[in-house]
Amino acid sequence: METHKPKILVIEDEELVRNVLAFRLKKDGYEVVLAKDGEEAMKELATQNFNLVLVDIMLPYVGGLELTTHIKSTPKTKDTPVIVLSANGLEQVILDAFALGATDFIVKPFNLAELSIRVKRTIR
Amino acid sequence: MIGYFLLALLSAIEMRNYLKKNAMVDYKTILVSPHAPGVSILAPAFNEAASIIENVHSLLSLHYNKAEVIVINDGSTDKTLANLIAHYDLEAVNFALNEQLPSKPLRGVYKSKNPVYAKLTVLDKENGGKADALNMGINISRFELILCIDADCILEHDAILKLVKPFLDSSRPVIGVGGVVHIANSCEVKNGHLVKVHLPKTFLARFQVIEYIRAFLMGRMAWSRLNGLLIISGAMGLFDKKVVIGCGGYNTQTVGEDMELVLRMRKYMHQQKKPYRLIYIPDPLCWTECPSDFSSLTRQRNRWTRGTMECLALHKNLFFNPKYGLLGLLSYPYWFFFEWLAPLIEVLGLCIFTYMAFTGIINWAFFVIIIVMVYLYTVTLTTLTILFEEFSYRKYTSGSDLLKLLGFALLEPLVYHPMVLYFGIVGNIDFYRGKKSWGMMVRKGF
Amino acid sequence: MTSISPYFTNYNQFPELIQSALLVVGICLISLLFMYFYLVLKRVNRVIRTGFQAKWSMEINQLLAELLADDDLSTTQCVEKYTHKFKKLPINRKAIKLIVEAEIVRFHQQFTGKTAEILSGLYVALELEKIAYKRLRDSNWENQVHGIKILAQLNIKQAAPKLVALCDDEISTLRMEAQAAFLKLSDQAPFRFLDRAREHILDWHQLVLLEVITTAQDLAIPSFSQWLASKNDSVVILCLKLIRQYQQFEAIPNLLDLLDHANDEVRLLAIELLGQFEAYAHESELINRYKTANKNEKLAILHAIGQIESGKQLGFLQAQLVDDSYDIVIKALLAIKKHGTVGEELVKQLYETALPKNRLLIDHLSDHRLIH
Repeated sequence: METHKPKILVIEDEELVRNVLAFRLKKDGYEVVLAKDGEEAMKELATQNFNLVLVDIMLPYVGGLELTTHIKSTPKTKDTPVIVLSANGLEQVILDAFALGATDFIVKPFNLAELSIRVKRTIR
Repeated sequence: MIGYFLLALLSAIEMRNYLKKNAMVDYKTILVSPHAPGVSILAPAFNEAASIIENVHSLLSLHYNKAEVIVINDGSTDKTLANLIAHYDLEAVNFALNEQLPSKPLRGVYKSKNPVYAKLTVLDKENGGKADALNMGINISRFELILCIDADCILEHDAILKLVKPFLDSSRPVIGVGGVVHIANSCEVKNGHLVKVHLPKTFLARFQVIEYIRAFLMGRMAWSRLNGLLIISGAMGLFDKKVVIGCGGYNTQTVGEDMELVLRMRKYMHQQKKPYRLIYIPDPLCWTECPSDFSSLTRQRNRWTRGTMECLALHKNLFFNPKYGLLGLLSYPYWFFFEWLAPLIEVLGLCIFTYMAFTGIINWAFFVIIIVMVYLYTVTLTTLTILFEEFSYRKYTSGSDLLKLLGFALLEPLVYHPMVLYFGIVGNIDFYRGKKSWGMMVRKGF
Repeated sequence: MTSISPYFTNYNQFPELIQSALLVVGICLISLLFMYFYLVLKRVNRVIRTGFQAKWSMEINQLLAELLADDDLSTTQCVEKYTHKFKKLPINRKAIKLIVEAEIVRFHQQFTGKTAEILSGLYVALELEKIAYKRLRDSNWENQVHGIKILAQLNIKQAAPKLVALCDDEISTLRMEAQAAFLKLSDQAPFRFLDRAREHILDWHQLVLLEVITTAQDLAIPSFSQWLASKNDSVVILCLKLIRQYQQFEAIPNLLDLLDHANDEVRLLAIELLGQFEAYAHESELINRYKTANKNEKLAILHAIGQIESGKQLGFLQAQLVDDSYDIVIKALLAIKKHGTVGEELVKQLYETALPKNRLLIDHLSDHRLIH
């Protein structure tokens, strides 16, 4: 019987970070779908089911927090955990993210090993 | 001619210094610092129902932590307010207004029920014009810096970060910062953000691209270096709120409210005997739609001419007045002679030439030499500006766009300049006739 | 067609104005041709360079992404394995070396922990720090800044001694970057620049230093009150901000001395800190100063009283509610509200007897959607 790998949507406009996350998460045994902005992300969310969404706050067109609100208010995706990535570690930003339903918050620059553990813990 | 050459030289030095100093700056430092100054973004809106949601959305996405967005609905007669209320889930709040600057009555203050939009405040007031709307926005604003913009302009994501930095790294207190305004016609815009830059398709807009680049990169950069700026564009300007309030806010009786404010701020600082700076940065941070048909352009330029004349008249006590330093001895006289009088002198020159031609006292060979000199000098300066643009931010990356710009630089003195002359003359006539209106620009949208 | 040769042969016979005009025509033509040629050349160069960089950047990025995902190895093993792979690239070519350097820095900016250590290790193993050291000796300050920033980003601690002299440079940007880098990299007296700073430390400079200090992983934080007596006001201001950041309560006695400082900003910060530190014992000192204080200081004092929340100054705060200044009334009301249940009760009482405009103020402050 084929075991389905957990699927993660990574929404990050910085190509370098996107590629490294893809590499790392695939190595950790996940299926990874990449989106470079909110618009692409919404298309993916509408057509696929994800076990986790990793989203950068500073995205073009649709911000990460706005996307989080959208995920948490859409019936199809409201139970999908969201981990927010941000270069901005100010207290208010973190509180805002959690208030909107984010499960976890990782400040950039981030530790890959730590991210890996947090992803594993969240999906479990 | 020597004057323009000096301006070009000063601009080159100022741009080079700015680019060197900021090439390796990590603006994230300002973004994440709790010590960065707060910025209130003031966006007056009148009858912009079609585009207001997109415009506000793009303002909310600007990269800056300590900011608020205040949209001032200036008595719109369309669905501007209704659209905002519906989209952003707004409700009226009890707001105790601190009326530091007089303006038309406030009808309501709205905040969103959704915490994602906590930064947004929408004001609804009676119609009073852009200046009046900005004054009301200033009354409501929380932060020490105010970013006054046109709601339909597109700002780059990091515009605020770049505009704020000069306030922090100048040895003299900075009271205002402006950035380069570019033409957005024919550019690709998505959700209120500029995605790709193209040269405009219409001839008129292309001429204006050249004009804007020259005005900002050659004119304003030089005046910034001299600390002699008389204007920060109404499309986008970041100001010290205390100074704006101290000098009385925007003047609602002039169509040149952006220039008038800067003149008054400068006079205020002189009267307070405080050192200060007004700065222009060469970063292209703001994109705006320019008129692409002749009648809209006529109305816009008419307003600009009248605005200039109103400002010069209101502040005529600056003329060669040593009490105001460079402002009185150089900046004001320059505007007086080169921005106001220049079209009149040019027309006078044309009249004298016509008379001399009819009376047969022209040496045609020498005349041709002089005309060729003037033409080539103008083209050289314009090409130099395109070179500045190429070696700074190079927004027109396509080779064909660059070639077109160079080609239009050759045509401009022959085709566009006579139009500008015409606008200047008509503007003068309308000023003396007492015309006060803004005129409407037909916006085609991005 | 009219011959133009007379304009050359008869040049000296023309009036001076025409001679000047012809000279200007000549200069303009030459300038135009030069500018056109230069523009075309630059564009062509850029296209070639961009293509070259894109090709090599992609290959190097792939290698770096592989390296970062290769988590099973230790740092040293990883560095060794990938140094070997990188040396297979034509890294002797300066252009490739610069691309490798730039990409390592770009990756390093995104990650911390073991990933960052591996990247720094790789940078040193490939001997790329020699490029940065060469930049430090460059005559152009912007190249020196480039070198400093790379060494600081990659945490090359051995570079610290090379930065000492640059920390006192007369060019402010260079000085700032050197000081910031020195703070990050040096174990020996990283805050020495506070003793030596003679020039005003600009606000931007302070932001950069604050960012470096507060994010540095293993920086020993001194007691910043030792610099509060500095003759350089900007040093005092920076140290006050750091005292606030690190909650150095032992600085309270120094703060009281600073209430009489000549610099407005210093006095303001001192008042703010007394409030933030809830300096209960010194509340009366602040009240005594209120009458003679300027407006900004009054606002700061009211805010501080609210933070101290002793409960003894409610009468004083209430007395400020009749002030003409909107800001003073708002601040006083906020300070009363900060006094927990007692404060809230007082505000309710005030509401019942208040004039309509003051009721509006109280409603305004009570609205959670309005941030103050």
